[in-house]
Amino acid sequence: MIKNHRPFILLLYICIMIAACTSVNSSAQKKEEAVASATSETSVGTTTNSSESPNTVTSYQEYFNWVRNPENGLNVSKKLGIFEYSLYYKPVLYEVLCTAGKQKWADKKRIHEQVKDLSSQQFFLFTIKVSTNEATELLKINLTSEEEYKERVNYCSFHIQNDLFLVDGNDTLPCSFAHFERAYNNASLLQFSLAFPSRSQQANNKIFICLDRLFDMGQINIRIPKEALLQIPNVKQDQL
Amino acid sequence: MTKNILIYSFLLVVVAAAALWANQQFNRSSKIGWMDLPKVYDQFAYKKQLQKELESRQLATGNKVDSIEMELSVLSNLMNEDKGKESLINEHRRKGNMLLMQKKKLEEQLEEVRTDFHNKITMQLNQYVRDYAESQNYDLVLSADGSGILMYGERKIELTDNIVAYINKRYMGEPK
Repeated sequence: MIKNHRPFILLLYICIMIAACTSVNSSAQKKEEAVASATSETSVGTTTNSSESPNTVTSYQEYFNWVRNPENGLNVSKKLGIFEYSLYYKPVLYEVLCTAGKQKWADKKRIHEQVKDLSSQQFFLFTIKVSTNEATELLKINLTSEEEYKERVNYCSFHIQNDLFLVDGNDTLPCSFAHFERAYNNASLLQFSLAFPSRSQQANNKIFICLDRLFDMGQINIRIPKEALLQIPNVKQDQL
Repeated sequence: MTKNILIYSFLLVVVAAAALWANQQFNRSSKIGWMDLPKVYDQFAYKKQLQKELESRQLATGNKVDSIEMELSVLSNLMNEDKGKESLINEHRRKGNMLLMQKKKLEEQLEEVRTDFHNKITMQLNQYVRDYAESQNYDLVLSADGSGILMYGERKIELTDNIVAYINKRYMGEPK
C-alpha cells in the first residue's frame, strides 16, 4: 500500500518543506523590515511637502468645500483617554463666507472688504468630544458636585480664553476671543470659536496650546502643519 | 489511480494552505517590543516641562518652610528663657503649633502638586505609547521598569528611542 503511494508521500514531504522554507524566509524578511522600519521611525512625520505652489479654485463654493474637507489637513485631532480634542483652522475668507451666509456670496466686493477687515486675526474652532457609550453631558463627566458643574459652565463662558495660546512661528500669542457655543442638542460635545492675533505674514506651523482645567488633562498641544496651510487655495482673481 | 491523484492533490493543497496560514499567524502575532520605562518617562518633553515647574514650586515652598523653621527655633529659645512663666509659654506653644500646621499644609500642597503632575504625565505618556503600538502594528509592548516583570529583552526589539521620539512629537501636537 505504502509502496504504491510513495511518489505522493514524497510530493507531500516536498510541499511541507517548501512551506517551512517560505516561513523561515518570510520571518527573516520581516525582521529586516522591522530593523529598517525601526531606523526610519525616527523620521516619521518630518517629511515635508515640497510643492509650495498654492492651489487655485474658481468659486467661493469650491473654496468652501475645500476648507471643509477633513482630508486637507486643516482639522487635527488628539485623543487623550476618553477625550478627543480637535482644532479646525478657519482661514479668514472661510470665516467671512460662513458669517455672511451663502445668499450674500454674490456681493464679492463686500466679502473682499470683510476679509481685509478681519485679516489681523486668525480663526479656529476648538472642539472637545467624549468617547463613552453613556449619553452623559460632557460638562458633567467626573463631576464631584453640582457647584462644580456651575463652575465649569462659568469657566467655559468667561475664563477659558486665559488658558489658550497659539505658537505661530516664534510668537506665542494669547487668545483674543473665545466664544463658548453651547450645543444643547449634542451635549457630548463642547465647541469654542477662537481668534488669535495674526502677526506673521508667512505660513508657519501653528501649535495650539490648551491648559485643560476642565477635565484636568494637563497641557494639550495640537499642531496645524505648515504644509496644510500652504495648500489653502486662492480664489481666482476675477471672483473678487 | 486518477481518484488517488485527485485525493492526494487535494490533501496537498490543504496541507500547503494550512502551513501558509500557520506561518502568517505566527508572524502576525510575533510583533513584540519592549521599552525602558524610566528612560522614556525621563525623556518625555512634558515630564521635563512639569519637572521645571515643580522645582520652582519646591523652591518657593522650601523658602517658606525655612522661615517657619527659623521662627520655631526663635520660639524654642524664648520658651527656654521664659521658663516658669506659664502664660507666656502657652502663647509660644500656641504660636509654635500654628507654625507647624502651616509647614505641614505647605508640604502636603507640594505633595498634591507632585502627584497631580505625575498623573498628567503618565496619562499622556500611556496614550502616546498606545498610539505608537497601534501605528506600528505592535501586538505587545512590554516595559522594563526595574520591578522584575521584564527581566530580559533583546536589543533588536528594544523600542525605547523610537518611542521617546514618537511621544515627544505627539506631545508637541503632531497628528497620529
